[in-house]
Amino acid sequence: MNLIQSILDSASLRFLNQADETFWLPAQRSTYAGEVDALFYFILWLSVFFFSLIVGLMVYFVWKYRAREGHTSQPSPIHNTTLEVVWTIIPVLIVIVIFYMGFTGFMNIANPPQNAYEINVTGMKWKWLFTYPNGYVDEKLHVPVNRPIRLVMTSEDVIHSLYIPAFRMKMDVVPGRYHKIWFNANKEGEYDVYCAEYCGTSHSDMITKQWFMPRENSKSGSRMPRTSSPHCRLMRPERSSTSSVDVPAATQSTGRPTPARPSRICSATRSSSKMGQQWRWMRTISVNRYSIPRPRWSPAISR
Amino acid sequence: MAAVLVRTEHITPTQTIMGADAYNKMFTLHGAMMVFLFIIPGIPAALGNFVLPLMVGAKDVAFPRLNLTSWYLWIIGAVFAVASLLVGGFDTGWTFYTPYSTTTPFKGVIPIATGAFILGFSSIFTGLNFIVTIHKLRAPGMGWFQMPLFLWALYATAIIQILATPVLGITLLLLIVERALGVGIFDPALGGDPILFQHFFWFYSHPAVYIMIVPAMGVISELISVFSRKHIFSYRFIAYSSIAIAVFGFLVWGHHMFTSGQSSLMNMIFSALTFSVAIPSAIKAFNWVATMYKGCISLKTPMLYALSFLFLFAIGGLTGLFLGSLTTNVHLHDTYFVVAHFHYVMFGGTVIAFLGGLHYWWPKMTGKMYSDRQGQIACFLIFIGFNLTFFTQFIMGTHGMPRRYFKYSEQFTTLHVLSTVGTYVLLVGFLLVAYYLIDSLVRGPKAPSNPWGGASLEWQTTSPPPVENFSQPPIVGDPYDYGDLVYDPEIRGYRKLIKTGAA
Amino acid sequence: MTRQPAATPPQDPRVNPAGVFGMSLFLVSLAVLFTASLVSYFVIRFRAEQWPPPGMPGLPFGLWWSTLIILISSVTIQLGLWSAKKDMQAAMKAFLSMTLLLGIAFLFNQWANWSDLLKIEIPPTVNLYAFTFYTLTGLHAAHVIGGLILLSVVCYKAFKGNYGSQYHPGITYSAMYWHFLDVVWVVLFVSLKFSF
Repeated sequence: MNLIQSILDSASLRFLNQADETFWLPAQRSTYAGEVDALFYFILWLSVFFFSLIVGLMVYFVWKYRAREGHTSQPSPIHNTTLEVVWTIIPVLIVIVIFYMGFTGFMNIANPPQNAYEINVTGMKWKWLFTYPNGYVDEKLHVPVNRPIRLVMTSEDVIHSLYIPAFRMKMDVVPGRYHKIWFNANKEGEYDVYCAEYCGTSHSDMITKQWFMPRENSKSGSRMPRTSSPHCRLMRPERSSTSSVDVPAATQSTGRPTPARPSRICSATRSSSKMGQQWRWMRTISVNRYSIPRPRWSPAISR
Repeated sequence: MAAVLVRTEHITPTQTIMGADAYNKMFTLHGAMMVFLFIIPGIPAALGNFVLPLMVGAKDVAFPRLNLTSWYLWIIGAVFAVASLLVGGFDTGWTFYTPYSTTTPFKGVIPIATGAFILGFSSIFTGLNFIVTIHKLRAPGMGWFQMPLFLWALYATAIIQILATPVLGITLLLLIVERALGVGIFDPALGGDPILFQHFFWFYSHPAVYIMIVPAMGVISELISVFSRKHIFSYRFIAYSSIAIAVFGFLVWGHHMFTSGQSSLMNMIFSALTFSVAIPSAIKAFNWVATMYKGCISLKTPMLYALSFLFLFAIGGLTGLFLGSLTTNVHLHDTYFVVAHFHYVMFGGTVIAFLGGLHYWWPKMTGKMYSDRQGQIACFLIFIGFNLTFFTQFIMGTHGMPRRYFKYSEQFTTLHVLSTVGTYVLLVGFLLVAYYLIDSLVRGPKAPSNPWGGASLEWQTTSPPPVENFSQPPIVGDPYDYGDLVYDPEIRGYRKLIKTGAA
Repeated sequence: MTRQPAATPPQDPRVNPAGVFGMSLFLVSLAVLFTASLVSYFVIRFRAEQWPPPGMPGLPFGLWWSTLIILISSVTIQLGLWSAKKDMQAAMKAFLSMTLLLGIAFLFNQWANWSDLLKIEIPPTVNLYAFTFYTLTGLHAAHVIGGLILLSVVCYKAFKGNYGSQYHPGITYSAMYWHFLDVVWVVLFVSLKFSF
């Protein structure tokens, strides 16, 4: 693969952004990404092997037994049970291995650790809202590095799907249901958050450019995007179902006080709604040491 | 052709030739039209209806009038599809996922769902006809294991058509009712469940993938054997694997929903079952290659398509392993990787096999020969164009490019441009096919009864066949025994060594 | 209904030997359709915390009458088929017309059940309890209408004297279809009535 990559590079067909992206996969930025990638490469090389076997034999036979003067087909057995059994059993064994690897990895992804930091996610046309345990609501996902994060997700309208390629993580966000997923980011930076389930006109506007965020920005919090009106709705749920289950215990996990002052949030966001518009399509996740956002009204915590 | 527009749109990362809504309608149109109108009925209805009665040695299918009904239903379904465009189009994706499909502002959803519903019945009737014909109308002396493998494939397909399509019917019906009344069982606000729609939809639509691919495999089994002048290797394994795929195909729908939030236990079961479908497909591939061993392989146009099929289907099948496995699926689900995978299966598999079958039976259907040279060039163009279009999409997918995106990140520009160029190559290939096939109708030389030396029954009658298919009863033998067929340059076709009235 | 041709006998005076087999396959296909709709009903029903939802009445009592009517009609059509096989023209005509009338009565009774609900202002849009009831019974009624069209064609042919002991495919097919509708109804009725 390195050969292909170098050819692509030399032909200025470069499509990789980050240094540790490979020809096949983006950078690994969550603790379980490595495991996913290992399986990916295992299947990849297995596929390369079987593909070469089938197509190689095919090409060889086409050449060797091509129709030409003086060549006719020669008799050979039309059935061989041993052969059939062999090429049934071998794929069976291989897929059992693949299945087992995929399954154990999946159980890891599906079951968050107990001490995870919990963020509530609401999908809507066409934005994400992230509600932090301290009541802060934002369109961007900010998480600390090296700490398990659990997302509890639901949708206000249609089905969305939260997808962060760098984390190898994806989960549908379904109205009327609460889906949980977790990850543990292992490197600071900014990564794409996509919506992976088609949701209408601006479905693809969730796309954005990747870049590493300088640490100062997130530290000062001055470039923190502010949401416009929708999160006020979130504070005062319209549907009874939104407030029912699965949201408790969020505040305890951080130990921070949760100021129940929705009116302040609304006014704060209204004043900065222009900025919210500007950031409207910047659905990235920023991961760094300090990036759990503070409520606007709380005194800055010096570090 | 919507596909060409979609790909053109993707030359630049943002808007190129159309707006977001137009793009969304375009890919939906492409998906829904191709799946429901062409690929599902393609091989069974177009090739199968012609070839099946000939292959079993019958005058016609068991219920000719039902068959005609099925054809009219197809037309009505197509009319509904066109109507849906006239009332404003639809942008739901061909999957119609609720609650998006019940709330989208575009009014084409009900007509297209009705159209798909009607096409479903067309498909059921075709399947019913095939099963009954194969059961009841086989020529005297033709047992189950003297049938050409294409018939086994159609039989397996027909089982799926009969048992899975009604589920699509009821699902679309409920969708239509829900959209019309504003209330329904897929609406979470009332305690309904949008995931239920996905279960129902995929319970049909996954087997539908096998409605598309199993007959394609049947065609390939015929082509490889005939053009290698060799008996098919391991007839029974290929026949049984068709049935196995049809049966397993019913049990794997959940693998479209690994990230939908269904329980881990269900994910585990579906993942395991999914891999079970891989086995019969692998068996077929190995058997096809083994058939060519010690053959006498001539690279006529149909055979080129068959070889392309093996190449492309190998990729399509193997990339299925990435998607069947749970963790890699989570990463790749709903990305371009999936798009590339199913195009390798549906296009690289079904459409290529359809073209192969079309070129194979074209002389029999029309009585005219096309230019083999032009056919080979077109096949080559399609092969190159196809790989350029879709292999690049695998790489985009693994890097996280989600499907159904109007705009995309600039890092993918190069690959998108390559992919679009591939589409144009494909288009040229298809135009060439259309050109020389039409040309052959006008100027093509008259086709002999048996231009390729096939041993199945359809080659015993004239090209094209008379109204009742056979002027004298066909002689049933081993459909893959080419020993007594010799090429006769005088008639530019094959004839039997022993004079039996054929040719 | 678009499904008629499946059940229509061919023009050919000889009976198509594949007819019964084809009809059975068609019924299998329809059975899948009804099974799927019942599955959807049960999913909805067991997701709900209360069934019927608070303030909703039970199902109309008239459903019992429907059940009785359709059971009897199943018997009459079978008697019609037997009489056809024994070439008893008068009995055949009588039983077939009785079945036709019972079918129409069934539909009327279903309509009465619906209007009972509508009268107390429970349209299908009020909640999923009502919605599933209307949809399932409506789906079945649509198939009954299809069956009635088939049956009237068969009756017409019977009165024209087309059928005899050797040739009566229309009656065979409509009897198969009618029994199928009967079984579906009973399953449907039991599922709706006793899933509380």
